[in-house]
Amino acid sequence: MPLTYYKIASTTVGSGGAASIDFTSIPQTYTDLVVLMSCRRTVSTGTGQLSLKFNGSTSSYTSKLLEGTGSAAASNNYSGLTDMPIGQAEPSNFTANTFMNTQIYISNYALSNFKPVSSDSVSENNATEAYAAVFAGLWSSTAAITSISLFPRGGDNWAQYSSATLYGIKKD
Amino acid sequence: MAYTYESIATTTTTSASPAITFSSIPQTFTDLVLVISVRANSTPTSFGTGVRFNSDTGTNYSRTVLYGSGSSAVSFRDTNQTRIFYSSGSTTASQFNLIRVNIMNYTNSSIYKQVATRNDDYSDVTSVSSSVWRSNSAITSITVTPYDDNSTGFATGSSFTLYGIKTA
Repeated sequence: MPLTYYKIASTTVGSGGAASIDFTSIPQTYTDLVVLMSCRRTVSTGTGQLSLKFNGSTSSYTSKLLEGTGSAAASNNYSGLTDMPIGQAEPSNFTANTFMNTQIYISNYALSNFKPVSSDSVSENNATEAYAAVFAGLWSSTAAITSISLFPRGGDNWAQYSSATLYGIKKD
Repeated sequence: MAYTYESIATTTTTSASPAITFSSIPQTFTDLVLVISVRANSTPTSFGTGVRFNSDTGTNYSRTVLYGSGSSAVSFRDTNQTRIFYSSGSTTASQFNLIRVNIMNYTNSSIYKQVATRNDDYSDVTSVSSSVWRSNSAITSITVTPYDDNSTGFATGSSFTLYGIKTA
């Protein structure tokens, strides 16, 4: 039986920070995609979310959040946005050296169906504010995904040592 | 480098289909992952996807679910069910719901089988759930069924892939 989980590309943010992490020219030879991301923002304010865009598109995104903060559980709905909120992103006032971890699963990215996205996102920083969250996102486009941009919502930057790796999964 | 994540079998429906079965599952992995991309073939009152092991239709399944509707977070549980059930009601064209089922220690004949799932119904809710099949039997087959077991069916283009994971 063949190996099914392949690394496509990986990026680690350098000392100057970065507005986004981008994967381009994604091969169309896999069935599903997985992004593993470890991220931290450079400022302490803002929406605090990891967001994505496919193919540079600014339309047809929705997502739904379910999260626990350690003291409460909540759910939010996002629609009519120019991007897809898909994870939490630690602000700079969280405990130093802590990063938020997120796994993003994209099913059937090369087919001409809408693109479902499922993510699990967690942080823990030995302080009062932390998150365990899941997101369900949908890009209502039949275009094959050829690029992914991962960025903090609100014009923030990724801090040094933030990283993301893109994997392709083959099912046969 | 050892291969640890392997495709065992995959099926994509080319017409409206009832149950999908993975049989003769190799007993050489540690855990299994079942990835389901599914859409209902018609508009039923309540559509969903069920999973059974070794064709067991007894009331040996239970689940605890935490879901978010977009406005509230809710948890509930079901006991003594005849399958593990996942809500997945989309009949929207081109929109397939994604269910990722993790089945741990499926060959261990001394324990009940634990299942952890992420289920995204893009027209309804996102959820996480924990389930158990109260059987010590090693899992040799998995059947994925529509909510009503047959008449509604899965729409064309629904896909079902079973992966095996080795820890060593």
